[in-house]
Amino acid sequence: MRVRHLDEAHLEVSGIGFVESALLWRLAAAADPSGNPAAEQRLASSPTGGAEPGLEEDWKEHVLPELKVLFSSAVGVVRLDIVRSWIAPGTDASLRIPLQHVEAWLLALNQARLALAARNNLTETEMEQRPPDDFQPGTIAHLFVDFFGHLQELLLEATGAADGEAED
Amino acid sequence: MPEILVEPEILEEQQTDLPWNVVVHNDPVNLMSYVTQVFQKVFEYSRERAERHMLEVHRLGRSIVWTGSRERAELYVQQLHGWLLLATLERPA
Repeated sequence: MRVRHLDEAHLEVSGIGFVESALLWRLAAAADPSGNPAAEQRLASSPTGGAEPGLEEDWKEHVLPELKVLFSSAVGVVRLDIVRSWIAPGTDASLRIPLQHVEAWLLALNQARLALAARNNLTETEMEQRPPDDFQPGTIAHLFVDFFGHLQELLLEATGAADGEAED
Repeated sequence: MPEILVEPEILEEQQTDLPWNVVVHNDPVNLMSYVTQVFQKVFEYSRERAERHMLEVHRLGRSIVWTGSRERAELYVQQLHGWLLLATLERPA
């Protein structure tokens, strides 16, 4: 799988194989935390760790609904990009991502990774040290997390941030 | 020497005026390159400075990424949550 600049306004993701296609088409579903308390909690983490009850209440009332809309919107953008630009002429597929949508992709991919890890209780040890010949119930979830992370890396490399610094 | 008593309301007001910390906590799922880029986007830090904070989060479990007014600190925490980083606002000690 490769990511390159197609023109001034688009990236192209090409060489998407059979397994990668299967994973990518499940991105929106993977990013949905609904019905799983651990995943829902991870996507709505506390702003003070419980230290400021007043602020926590304000946050729940005013900020969390906005964040939920933001997360849902990012997944919606990605879903439409996949549906609209998916080309699969032979064994490998490709798709176009408008540069304006890259932030939505990065966020949706991260959302999916976090929701999957929380839903499947993937621990830090499992994330960092897993034998290649191991197969546990969470192995498929891990495969999704790794693949979405790989695509995140490719998108980050293709769109590297400008190296400017503002004041403190 | 008599002890100086500070009324709770005044104390609260003084604490609100003190600089607040924006703290980012480690999450093994978030990619290091992603966290670096988020710091660059949110705070407009240089890549080098953003990486320094990212490595601090990775190695020490947390990093104070910004300190200043409560209002602005809240806004930064909101932005960091918008990128799904584990970020908290901390009252000055």
